[in-house]
Amino acid sequence: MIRFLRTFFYTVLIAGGLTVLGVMAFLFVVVQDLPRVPDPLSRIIETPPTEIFAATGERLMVIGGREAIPISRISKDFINAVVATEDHRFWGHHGVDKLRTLKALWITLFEPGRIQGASTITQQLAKNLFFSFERSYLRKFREMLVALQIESRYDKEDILEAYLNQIAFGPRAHGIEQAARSFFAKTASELNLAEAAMLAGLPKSPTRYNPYRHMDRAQKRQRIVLSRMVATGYITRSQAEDAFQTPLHLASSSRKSRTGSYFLDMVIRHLEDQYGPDVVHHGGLKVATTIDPHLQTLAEEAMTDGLDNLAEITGTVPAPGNEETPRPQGALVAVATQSGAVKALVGGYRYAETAYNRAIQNHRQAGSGFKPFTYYTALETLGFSPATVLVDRPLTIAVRGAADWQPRNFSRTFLGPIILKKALMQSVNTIAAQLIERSGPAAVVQTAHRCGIESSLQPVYSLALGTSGVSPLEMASAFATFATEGIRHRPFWIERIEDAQGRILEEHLVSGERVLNPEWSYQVVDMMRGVVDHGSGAAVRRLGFSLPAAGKTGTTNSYKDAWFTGFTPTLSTSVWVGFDKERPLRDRNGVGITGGRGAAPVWANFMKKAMEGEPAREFKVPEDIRLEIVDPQTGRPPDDLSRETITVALTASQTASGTVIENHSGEPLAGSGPVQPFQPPPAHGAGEIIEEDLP
Amino acid sequence: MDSWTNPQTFNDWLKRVFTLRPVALVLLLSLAVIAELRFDWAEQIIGRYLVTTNQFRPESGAIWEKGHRTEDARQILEKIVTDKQAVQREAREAQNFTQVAQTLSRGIELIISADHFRQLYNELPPELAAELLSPYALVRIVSENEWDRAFFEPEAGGFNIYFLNKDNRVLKQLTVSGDMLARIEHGETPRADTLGNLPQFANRIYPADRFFRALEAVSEDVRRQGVPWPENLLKSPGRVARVAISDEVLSGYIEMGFEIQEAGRTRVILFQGRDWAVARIRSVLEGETFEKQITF
Repeated sequence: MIRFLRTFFYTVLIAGGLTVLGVMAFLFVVVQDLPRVPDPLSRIIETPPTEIFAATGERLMVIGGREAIPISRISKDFINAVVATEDHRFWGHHGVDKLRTLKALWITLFEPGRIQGASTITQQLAKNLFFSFERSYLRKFREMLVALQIESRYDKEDILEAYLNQIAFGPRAHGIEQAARSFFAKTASELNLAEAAMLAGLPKSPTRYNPYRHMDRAQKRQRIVLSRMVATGYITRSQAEDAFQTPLHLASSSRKSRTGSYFLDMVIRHLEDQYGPDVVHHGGLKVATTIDPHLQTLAEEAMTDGLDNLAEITGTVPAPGNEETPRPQGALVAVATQSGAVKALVGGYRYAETAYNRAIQNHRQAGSGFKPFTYYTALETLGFSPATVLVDRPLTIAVRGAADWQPRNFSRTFLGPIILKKALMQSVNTIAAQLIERSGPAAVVQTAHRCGIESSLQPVYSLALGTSGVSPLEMASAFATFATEGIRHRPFWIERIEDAQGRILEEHLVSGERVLNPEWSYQVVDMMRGVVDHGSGAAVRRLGFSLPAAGKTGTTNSYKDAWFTGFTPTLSTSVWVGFDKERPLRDRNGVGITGGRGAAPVWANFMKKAMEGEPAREFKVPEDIRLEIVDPQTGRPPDDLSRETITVALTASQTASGTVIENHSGEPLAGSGPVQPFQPPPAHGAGEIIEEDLP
Repeated sequence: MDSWTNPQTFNDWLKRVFTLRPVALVLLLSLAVIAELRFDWAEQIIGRYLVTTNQFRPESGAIWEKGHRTEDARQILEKIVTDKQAVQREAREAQNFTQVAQTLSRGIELIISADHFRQLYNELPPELAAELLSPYALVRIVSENEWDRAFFEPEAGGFNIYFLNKDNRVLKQLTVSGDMLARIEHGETPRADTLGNLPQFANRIYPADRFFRALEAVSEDVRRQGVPWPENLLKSPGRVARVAISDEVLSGYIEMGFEIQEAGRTRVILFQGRDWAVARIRSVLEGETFEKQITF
């Protein structure tokens, strides 16, 4: 027996010795490819962040890097909460909590189905810095070795500071400073016990305990953290109870989803295209953008209110818990007319729900919003004036290889003889159709492209009624060309890009190019002023926007898209609303929602606040322009028979003589005589340039 | 049956088990374990050992990869900035438009100050300067007191010049053709052509000997202003066969063409002379009774 005991004793001793030797040998092998630890440890947060700034200098976003702060600027409650929750023996161990590790090993080995974690804060730091999230004993061993090295080299404050500055609390919330700002709009030093406990519970699962989405879970986790603090003696039970009862004021979720997220996406995409993702995420660029945070906030509010209202009208408010119900979406872009700088951009109802940027990616038919390009083309190529009379009446245009096109008016009625200005104000489709039929679709396409529409446009007759897809950014930019007497400024959203040392990499040059005749541009502006003051866009005035403005509504077939694009002399804004999937916008009574009803209110609400305090600037009138009052039916100065008058802008060479456009057989189409049936021209194929003799 | 060597009593057991050696060993081991639990000496030894090997270990892992990316990004940006600065330095040190044009012909954008532009503009031969931008237009831009910099952007063989204010707003834009760029860069060079193919000279083409007789008949001042840089003609091999004078006056200059024949090849060198001087030469040419216009 004694011999057995002795043998057993020495066997255990030798086995233990061999194990130690084996572990040491293994250690020497593993050490070879163990990652090097940066020295000093603060180097881990030295990646310079790329920062994106608004035009006002306000920082909008930080990409990469860490907002590192010294431990002295972190709330003591938060430090205690993290230590109590993650590693309560942190201040005493040397990188590994042996008792906890043995317990975890026991549970893992002998209690099937249960896995117990035992990583100390130092081990978690090592894992986050160097290792993947693969679960293996070797990875765990390597992580433990690095933790031991970190503990040997740095003091506890350094380790805790590094840990707290790199830990993830959720997307765009890396490090405690970003997290405190993001969740509570506070600095890390300002966190109270309740907030500290809430945040300290997040790293376990930032998604599962996200207080914006799952407040109940987050509060349960907060209670666990507080209990741990009580158990470890950092706070008393009553303090914990008080903290748990303290109401939490989360930063507003719109703020959390960043000001101008759609805009920022656009900026980041540009940067990545230009410099590559590595430079954007690790290069420390300083990007000055054109966005005005005040206007952006107003735009987001106007769009949210407008879309909520539309959802109400259309009966598509998602039921609680049923977020899948399709709801109306929208986009708004505001561009400075004198430079092309994008001042505000909203790409949808809520960025957090869908990042699809409808302001630039969504190419939807503009409907009648496209008519100003058709009217400008008529002034330029046909020699028409705003007082030129055409006849609104049933119309058939033959299209080669396709069925005849019979444009109809929204009102399903015909107004007879009507001057161009009045026709645009009332958005009369048959007049726009006659204009494109005479000028040719290709000329209209050319005008739209000159103004700034970059989407591919089909040179067909129906283009006059906006049947080609365009984006709100294009519309806002193209209409700005009218506002500036025909000088086109390319839209841009990045003013300047600098490297981390402030050396300039890229600057935008504000360059205008004359693309339209100033007199004809002004005439179109004057006609569009009529739309806003007395025409299809009068909702803007009813909603209280009183500054000089011009614009045009747009509604497409079956009410799938509703637009309003308008401008003052300084700001051009385009609004689109509709469903993502091609579904009509109809109210609960089945009545279709037009641009004037769906989009114009969003435009008016935004512009009213955006232009608050601005002086009433008038559009610049070219020298060659004079204003005359005419009868909208005859195009001549009013007489005793005139029931209505309208002011038109005419160039020096134009007269309000009641020019009547004749049809192809030479008969007058307008005047006091009976309305003549329209003689369709010879058949033309879609996209063909039509050349015909005009009277 | 028990061996006779086995202890017979409990005391014998104790005496046999607790001998000095195993007890010392157990005590020693216990001490080691307790000391480890209390003082973490094993962790400290391993940690310190790892610190000594740190600098020989690979820079691997997420944080280093991020560091490498940061370094790559830094190098990319450094190259962009260095290249830009080199070009700007080159532009700043440019003594004449030829040097600027050489940079542009490498497809590189550059910015120079307004003062530097004026200095380079003044260095250009007057007729080329006037063709680039009328001196009156330049005076107007200068007098508006907004102009800060000129940005040169290569485009389609030529280049654009943007006159910028401090806010990067374009005050004026010029487009300079590839041909003009070549003339700035290399001076006037003969082109393979004949005067008859150049429409600006139709109806005003003269035999060279008559042109030079007329040139001799005018004063030295008229000769210098009418035909500046005659050395360009001397540099070109071959003989001048015909001379033509344009009808158009451009910013105070009139273009002239000298047709040179050499070994069966015909080339044309273009000049711009001051309008009043060229007009004087032309009046002498056309006033000579024995001369008449030659139409080919």
